[in-house]
Amino acid sequence: MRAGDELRRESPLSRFRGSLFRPAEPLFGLVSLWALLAVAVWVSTETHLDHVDWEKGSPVSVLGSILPESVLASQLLFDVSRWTLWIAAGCWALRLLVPVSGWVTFAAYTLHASMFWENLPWFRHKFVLPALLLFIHAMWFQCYRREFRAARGALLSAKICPAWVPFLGIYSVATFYGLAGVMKLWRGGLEWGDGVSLQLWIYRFGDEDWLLTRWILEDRTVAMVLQSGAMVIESLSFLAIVLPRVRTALALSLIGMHIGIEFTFGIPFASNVVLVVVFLLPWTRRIVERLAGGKALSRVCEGRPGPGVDEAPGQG
Amino acid sequence: MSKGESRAGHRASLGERWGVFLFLGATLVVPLVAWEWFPFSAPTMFSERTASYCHYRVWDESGDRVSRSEVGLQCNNPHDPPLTTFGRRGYGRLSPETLNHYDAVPTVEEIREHVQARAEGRRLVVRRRVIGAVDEDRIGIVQEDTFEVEPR
Repeated sequence: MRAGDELRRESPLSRFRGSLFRPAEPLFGLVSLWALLAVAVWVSTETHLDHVDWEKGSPVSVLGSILPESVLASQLLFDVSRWTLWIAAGCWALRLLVPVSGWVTFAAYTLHASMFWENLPWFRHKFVLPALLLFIHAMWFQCYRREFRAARGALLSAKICPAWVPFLGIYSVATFYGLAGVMKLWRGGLEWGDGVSLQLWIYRFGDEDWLLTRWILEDRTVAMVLQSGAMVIESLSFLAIVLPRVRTALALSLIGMHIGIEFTFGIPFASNVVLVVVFLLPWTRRIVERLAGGKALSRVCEGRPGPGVDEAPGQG
Repeated sequence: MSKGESRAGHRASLGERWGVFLFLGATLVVPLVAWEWFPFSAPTMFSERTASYCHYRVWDESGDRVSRSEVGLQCNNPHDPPLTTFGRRGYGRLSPETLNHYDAVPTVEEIREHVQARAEGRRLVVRRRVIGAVDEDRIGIVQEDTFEVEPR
């Protein structure tokens, strides 16, 4: 029996499971790792323990549920975790001491961001996605550590990036935004997008000098369309996992939403915008591959236009 | 070639398979159950639907502005609703007590008592504006109260 016949008989779920573990060239995986490391280092410059003297509330992180409060409030540990993150991220970017440097980067980032969250009287959601994405990439380098060593000198042509790396990246970003939409529906119901809340938030801390904010404050219908639109876009983000064709539209909508939030509320989410561009927007992969000739190279290595890159889950 | 085996000869180990499927499950299920448990998160930012809030302004006897946080009328958190899952309440750190919450319109007497307890013997003037929908298109001031708080 030919391999093609065997593949056709498999159920879609089996095919999906099989294709998840099929490796391709690592060019885009490495580029996205560098972007991710830059984001992790960038957001770690915005952390602080300014509210450490305030009364302790509840544990808000996995580490906060395990480690004692005195450890989580330690300025020394906070500084050490930041420096460890920066050094380990540098090593990982240069592929030094992998896979250990990958896990150290993930651990240092998670500890640092957990300490930040545990000592805040609110949440900072921009810290979530880098943690999940660092875990995925650390797992990649762990599972393919022998292949990475063997591919030295011919790294870009070696098939050492399993399809689950880009797929889990898309999944993490899509799930993060999808859950944000679900929470709005869950807590506020369908009426969440009635426009009044958006007007109140803008009235409270928005920039009234901006044309869009004035327009929103003057017209409930505009407020309703924008507020409902944000909820719909976020809720539909789950579709990006299974429908590559809608991924571009969703990614652009999410970027637009973040730009709108930054201008109206002054809440910066630029780090998330970078992650959406890198992990969700299909154009980025194509641009990187075109710049490096990666796609052509991968097909030459395949010997035929095959499923190695183009048909792997989450890569469309 | 089996499902887990690549063309380059890499065979997905049991750990790799478990790692991938555990990640898929955990990052979806844990946030739905716990809401916020970093690094798991169902971003709750702006998830509450709100219909009104109170804006406070406070002056002392000489007409100088008094910080809202001095008398417990500050807005602690304009966009993150507090946690309520697994018996947890609030955030990593608790903000100082305040009367200023979305959709909460305390009576003048409640405000007076609250401010009096924090006024440190000062005679203060408090202005409270309730902001909400004024018509079908706009929001604005739907109620305004200005009152004195005598020292205890």
